[in-house]
Order: sequence, then C-alpha cells, then structure tokens
Amino acid sequence: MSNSVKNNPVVKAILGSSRILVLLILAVFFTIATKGTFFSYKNLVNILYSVSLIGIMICGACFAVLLGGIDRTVSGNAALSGAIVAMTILNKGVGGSNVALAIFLGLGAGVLSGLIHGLILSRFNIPAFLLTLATNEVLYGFVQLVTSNTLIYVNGCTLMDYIGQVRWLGIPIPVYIMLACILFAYIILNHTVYGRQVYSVGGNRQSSELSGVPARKVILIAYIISGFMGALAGFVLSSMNQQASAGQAKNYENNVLAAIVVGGVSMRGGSGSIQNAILGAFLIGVIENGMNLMGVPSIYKDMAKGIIIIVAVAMDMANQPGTPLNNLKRRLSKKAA
Amino acid sequence: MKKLAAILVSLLLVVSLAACGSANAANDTKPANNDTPAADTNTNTDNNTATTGGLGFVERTKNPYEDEMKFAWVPTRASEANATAWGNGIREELSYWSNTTLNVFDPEGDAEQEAKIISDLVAQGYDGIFLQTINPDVLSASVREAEEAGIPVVCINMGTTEPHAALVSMTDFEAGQVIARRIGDALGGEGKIVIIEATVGAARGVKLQDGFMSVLQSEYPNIEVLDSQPADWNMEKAQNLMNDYLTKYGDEIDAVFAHNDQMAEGAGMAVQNAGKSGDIIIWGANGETKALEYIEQGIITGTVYTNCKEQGKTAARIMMLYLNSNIDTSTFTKTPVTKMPPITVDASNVSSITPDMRW
Repeated sequence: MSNSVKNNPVVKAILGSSRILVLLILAVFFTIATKGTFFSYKNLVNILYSVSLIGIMICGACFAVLLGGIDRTVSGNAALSGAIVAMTILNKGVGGSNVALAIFLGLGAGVLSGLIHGLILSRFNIPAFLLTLATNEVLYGFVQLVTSNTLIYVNGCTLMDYIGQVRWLGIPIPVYIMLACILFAYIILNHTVYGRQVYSVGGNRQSSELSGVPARKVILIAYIISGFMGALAGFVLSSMNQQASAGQAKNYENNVLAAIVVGGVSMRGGSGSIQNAILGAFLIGVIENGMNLMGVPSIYKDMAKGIIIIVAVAMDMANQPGTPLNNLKRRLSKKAA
Repeated sequence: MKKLAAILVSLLLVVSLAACGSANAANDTKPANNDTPAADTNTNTDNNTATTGGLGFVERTKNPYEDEMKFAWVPTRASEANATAWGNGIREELSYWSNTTLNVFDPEGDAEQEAKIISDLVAQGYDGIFLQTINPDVLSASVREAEEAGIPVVCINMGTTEPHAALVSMTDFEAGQVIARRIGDALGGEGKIVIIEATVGAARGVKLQDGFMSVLQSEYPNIEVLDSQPADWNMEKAQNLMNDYLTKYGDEIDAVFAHNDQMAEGAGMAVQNAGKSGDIIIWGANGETKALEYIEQGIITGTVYTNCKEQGKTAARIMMLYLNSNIDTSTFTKTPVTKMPPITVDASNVSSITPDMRW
C-alpha cells in the first residue's frame, strides 16, 4: 500500500478501527450474497430504522458505562415513559397542550428515575449492575400499574403519527431523532468540560476527586441523561407502534449493553466513545438485516450473531496494548518477522 | 339422615355432571356455529372430547359459592394483552361471588419459575388454579402435584402433558387453516406469500403454521412461500422483518401471514410506509382491538378473532362446576378440552365485533 493511500484519513480510520473494518467486510459479504440488495438505499434506511431505538438508548447508557457503571433501566424507563404518554393522551385527549403535558410527564419520569439512580449511585457504594437490575423490575411494576396490563392504544395523535409514520427524504423520523441524540452525546462527551470529567471519573474516581472534579455531580448528571434518553426512546417506540404495553422494550437493555461492549467502550469506565458504541449497534443491525435478506434460518441467526460479535471484540482486544490477545498478536508477528 | 341426603344429592350431581360432560362432548364435535355474518364454519372441534376415564370422587368440604375461596391466575406473561383479557374474564365471572378472591402471578415467560409458582400455590392451599402453561412438559409435575392435592387446574390455551381438570383453548391449527383458505381464495390459488412466525418453538405458533401449511400444500399448490422468519410475537421486530422482506422481494409479495396480530400490525405499518397499502393481503390471529381497528382502516386484511374475555369466563365457570361437585379431577386420564369458536374477521364483518367484545 503506497504512503499516500495509507495517509488518507478515511483509510486510516478504517484500518485503525476493527469495528469499521468488520462492518465493511460484512457489508461486502452481504452485498455479494444478496446480489446487491443489501447495498441499496432502501435497505440502508431499513438498517438505520432498525437500530434507531437502540441508538437513542445507547446515547444515554453510554454515559453510565463510561463512568464504570451500568444502566439496565433504559428499557424500564422506555416502557414507563411510553405508558405514561399513552395513558395521559388516552385520558386527556389528543389536543396540543395535552400531548405536550403527556410528553413532559413521560420524559419527566425518565429524568426522575435517572435522578434517583444518580443520587443513590453517587452517594452509596452500591454496584450499579445490582441496583439497576432490581430497579428495572420496579419500573416494569410501575408500568403494569399504569397500564393495568392492557394495551394502551393511541389514536389520532398528530405528533405521534408524525414520528411513527412520516419520512423525510425517505428516512423515518426516529432515525433523525437518533442522529440528533448522537450529535448531542458526541458534543457533550468530546467538546465540554463535563465530557472530560466523565472520562476522568470513569478512569479513576479518587484521583479525579482529589483534583477537584465533582464526581457525585458528574455521576448524577450521567444517570439523568441516561434516564432521559431511555424515556425518549420509549416515546418514540410508542409513536412507532401507536400503542404502549406493559412489556414494551423488555430486554432491550441487553442489546444496548451488547452494542456498547461491541463498540469497545470499556466496562471498567474511562475509555471508549459514543461513535464506536453506535458502530457496535450498527454491527449488530447489519448482521441481523443481512441474514434476513439471505434468508438464513432463524436457528443459525443467533449463533452467527454471537460468533461475529466475539470476532469483533477479539479484534478490538488484539489492538489494545496489554491485553492477552495483543500480547499473542505481538508474539506471532515477531515470529513471522 | 341429613348425611344420607347429602350423599344422595352429591351422587345425583355427579351423575348429571357426567351426563352433561358427554352431552357437551357430543355437541362439541359439531362444526363451530358462529353467528357473525362472515364467520368461517370450516373449523371444527374434533379433538374436543372430554374423556373422563377412570373417574374418581372426592368429598369437597367447601361450598365454592359461599365459603371463602382463593384462586390464582398464572399466565405466561401478565403483561400480554391476551393474558389480561383472560384474567379480566376470570375476574369478572368470579366477582359475582363476593366470597372469591383472585390473585395474579407472573412467571415472566420462565417455565421453571411458573412451575415454582404452582408448587407455592399448592403449599399455600389455594382452592383452584387457572394456568396458561409456558411449557407442557416442564409444568406437568407441578400440575400433578396440585391435582393430587385436590386443587383443580384449569388451563387456558395450553395445558400440560399430564391430565388435569380442563383446558379452555383458542383454535390454532384450525385458525391457520382458515387463514390459508382466505389468502388462497383471495389470490385465486396463485401467488407468493411471506410468513412472520412466532418465537421459535412456541406451541401456538407451531400449530398455526402447521394448520396454515397443511391447507396451502394440499389445496393451493401454486402458492409459493417466499420466506418464513420469526419476529418473536413482537410488533417492532415484525415491522423490521417486513421492511427486509419488502427490500428483498419487492413487488413479488402478494400476501403476509403473521402468527399474531401484533406482528400483523407491524407488517401493516411497514407496508403502509412503503406506500403499498391495499396491494398486499395481511392476516394475523387473535383479534385484539388494534388489529380490528387496522382492519377498519384497511391497514391489515383480517384476523381470526377469539373472545378472550369469554374464554376466561368459561374457565371460571368450569372451575366452579368442579369445585361444586365431588369429581376428583386428579383421576382424569385425559384432559377435557373445550375450544372457543374462532371468528374470521375482515372488513365485511369487523363491525360485528362490538366494543364490549373487544380486548
């Protein structure tokens, strides 16, 4: 490879990121296997649409993971928010102010949930995994109370119809909402003092506190953002489905965390990026979509998805200095030399 | 003297119940007679014979209409619309008697958890259990335990391999057959379809698929199934899958069969967003409110409706009947089954499903 090609920023980005490389390899493979169908505009929009909800959730949950924590309540927040919005509209009507109130209450529930989690996790030494695992069940309990375990149908709400059904340039609105959330998370994490504090506290909370970083406040805000994004995803989901149910978004937190891990965000905190976490979501979305287009029987789908995810994570670890895979890679390249 | 009279009355009751049972069994073998305009009468309930071989008797000390009675409803997932409708039906029926209480227990789709719940209910001395089994084999031992403890287990939609008091079921195999005929006739016997399946291995999904395919292969050999993939009963997954189908097959798709209404609704939305509403026939199964509204709006074509609330009420009535008799349901060698009539609904008769029937 000539130096000019090697120095091309796009080529550098591809070679420097195992995720982009795996994505490209998969894209080429699926394009060939589906005789070009995979690489059509329509299908790329389908992939964007299929990852939009998970993408919105990642934009919040990523903050918690970067802090060395975890937020499994993204799904519970989504379900609660969707249920509150749907119930409020059902009871109050579809008028503009009622819809605004419904959205305020729905998103407010997510913010409140994040605030409570943030307060507990920033002040008490409770493992975030255990706390959010338990509180997610509590949130789903609230959802059952709100919905009385029935499907809540939303009819005639212009805003929700708009979000669920309208397309701009052939792209569904939830995709734009996801892109806006990615932009928000990217700016916060990369271009604000708060973003640097997130990485600092995630890397080493004690030394950050010693150097004057308000760790408690940083954690609190992170979980509020996570709660808000979860609630926003729930509102979008209810708009897409034109209904809310007590089981809505159940287990989505597993996909969110899988995407974040595949995206190379360290579960110990302090390293990783929102771009890579979103790439992780795309990787999973592409595998799912490609296999659907190929007509792969469902029994092989999960297996293939798992193997490809392991390969992506292994390739990522092989590039991280100090990891056993990286050591193995160095030993092998030395031998080859 | 009073004792003798009580024994005589009990015996009379048992004999009349047995007679009713066989009479019902005989009636149930007739084709379903639906009074809705376009109700499909092709389905029948051939398997609906309530065999009670080896019938035994037990002395029940409680009067279910007067003494304090505690019942449990254990659906596969309490948050599902069907489960709620069944639960509401059971509750509504039982609420006529103020001496009864109904508690709901949610195993959240976990068969082992469901088995543990049943064992706990036996230990707590519940008087009757309404159950929607997640896995017929896993639940068999627990159901046997309950029956042997004198607690009748009335299952809804899916029973266990071990015999129990009764099963009140939706039609699934027959519903699949009905849908295949509707699609086959609408396509004039020729065309291409895609299927959106239930979670892999889900009993209802398997039966719907078997019924659908049996008719398709025998009566409509020129209809080709382009693809068949699961979307786990889930609306947004179905929408994504339908988007993929539309990308892959484009205008080739003439019809869609989804194993439930939620997935049919997802498919309907994908088709609508692709600007193909009305061009593709979409059928679901269950008959939930949103699906009926989508039929009215022309987003989906039809569904096989079951009155789930009535199904729950039927289960409650059967439970009360057993508890008010001396029949020992643990001696049954075959589970008595009753099936709810399937009502085929499309735009022509959707208005016959009145608001009070919707769930």
